[in-house]
Amino acid sequence: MDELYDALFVRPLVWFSRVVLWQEVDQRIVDAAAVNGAARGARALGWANRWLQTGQVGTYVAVFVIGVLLVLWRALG
Amino acid sequence: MYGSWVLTALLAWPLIAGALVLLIPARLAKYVALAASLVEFALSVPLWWTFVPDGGMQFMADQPWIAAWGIHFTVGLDGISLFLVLLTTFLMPLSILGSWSYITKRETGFYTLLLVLTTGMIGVFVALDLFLFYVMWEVMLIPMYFIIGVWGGDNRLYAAIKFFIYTFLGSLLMLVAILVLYLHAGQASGVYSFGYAHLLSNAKDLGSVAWWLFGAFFLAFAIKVPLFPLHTWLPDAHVEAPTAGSVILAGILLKMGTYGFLRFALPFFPAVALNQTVQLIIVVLSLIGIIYGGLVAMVQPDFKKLIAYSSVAHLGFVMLGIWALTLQSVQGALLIMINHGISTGALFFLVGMIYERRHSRLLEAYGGIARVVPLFAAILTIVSLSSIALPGTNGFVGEFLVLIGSFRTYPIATALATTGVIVAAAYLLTALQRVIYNPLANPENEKLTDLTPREITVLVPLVVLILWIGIYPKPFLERMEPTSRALIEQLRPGAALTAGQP
Repeated sequence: MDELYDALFVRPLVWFSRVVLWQEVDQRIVDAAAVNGAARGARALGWANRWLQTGQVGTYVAVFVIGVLLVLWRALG
Repeated sequence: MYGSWVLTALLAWPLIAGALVLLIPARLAKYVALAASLVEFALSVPLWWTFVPDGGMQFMADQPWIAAWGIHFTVGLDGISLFLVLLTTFLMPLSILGSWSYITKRETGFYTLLLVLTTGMIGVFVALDLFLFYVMWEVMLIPMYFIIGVWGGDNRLYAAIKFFIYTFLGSLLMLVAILVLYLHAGQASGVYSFGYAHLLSNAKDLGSVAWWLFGAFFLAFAIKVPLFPLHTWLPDAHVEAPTAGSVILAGILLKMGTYGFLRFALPFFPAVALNQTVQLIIVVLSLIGIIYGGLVAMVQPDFKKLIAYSSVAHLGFVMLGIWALTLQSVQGALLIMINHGISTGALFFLVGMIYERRHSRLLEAYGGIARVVPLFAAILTIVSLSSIALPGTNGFVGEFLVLIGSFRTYPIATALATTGVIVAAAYLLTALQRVIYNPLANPENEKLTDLTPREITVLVPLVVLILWIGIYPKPFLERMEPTSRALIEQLRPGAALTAGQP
């Protein structure tokens, strides 16, 4: 009887909890994908936007001029 | 007399003592910190007798702080915050005594941070000005960040940053919501003030904005509870923190989420909080917390992680009880908040003590140690049984009240939650079996030494409370009842009257 219960209920539940709930849902989906994914996303956004802060005044002026032109075009056009 | 200065003193004293610790030699830091925390506890104890259960908000103090912006230093205590403040002042001396031999580097910094943390935690529970509340919320966050990040385990930096960013994300959204409430109340009444009562009385005609504001408060508090799926900071933070950090995180900081729901999110936005869909979402998330938290705890190889996941399950019961909004379920939820602080705090102390001897938290590293360290085994058994909620221990009273009270509101959810109690027995009893029973396989465990007098001093007060609340919870329940009743009456008029006496 004990062996039967063990095989029918205990082992499947422990396997389900360990493999599906803990390793898959908790560690991979929630933690690795969603939580650390959000952190990676924020870092990637910073990396993608690093050309905005190169420290080269020429780039800043160029972006500024493009911006002014766009504003003028929207306002006058 | 005592009533008018006690809360201010409880907030100021740890800061004064913390400054003192900075000035003295590092080897004396723990003695001064222990003495200071005992003074703090002694200051808070008369609250128990002088508190008037029917008195509503009491021990009030109110001083202008930044008067031009309507910011006051307003503090007060009711049947919800009384026990959380006492739990804080009670756990602090134990945490300091429990760190005695565990913390060996930078003691000055550690004990100073613990004392500053005390002010932050008490401040969160007594603040009746939302600006002050927010400030205290952050004051609590920063010391804990350093406690995990400096004195934690191998993966401490990752855990500390995760804990910080998670909490901070929620709290900043909450700050925006507080500002919106402030401006709305100011426009509606002409008085600009962050006072709790003022904002509460002007929070009625928010319309659809209430949904956004509730969402912001919900996120801040749900992260802190933690509700699934916002819980993954918890196993990392609890496992990496030093023993005192784990005890305080589980014992006190986790209660700030559920406290926030009781004090702010529910009374401010009852229409949103009790919306059918919102109720369904919160009850389902609580249920996931109870069952999922328990099942994941069951398969943890690391004892500390097992306790961490069991916290997710316990706090699920608290959320279920709060949202069921019957007298028993709310009182049960408040009692579980206290019980969890005592029992889970004790479990973290015990794991910390055995870790100091063997430097392993893995269940499989132990086995059969009941013969070597009988006293440790006996206390671990009592504490585990209380965490499982065996009758005669504190855990039973809380879970029983939540289950009986919630059944009225959510019969199906409550029936499912009951399986969580069985899962709790499965994970804690098997852990107990693997640690203290089974054959003594590892020869290293034969050399273990039993609890020292200092460690017994840490654990005995916790065991006394476990049995006291388990056998005679009336002094606790009668102090919670009027406040719980008033809260239910405010949110669901008529409901408290139909609910039976516990």
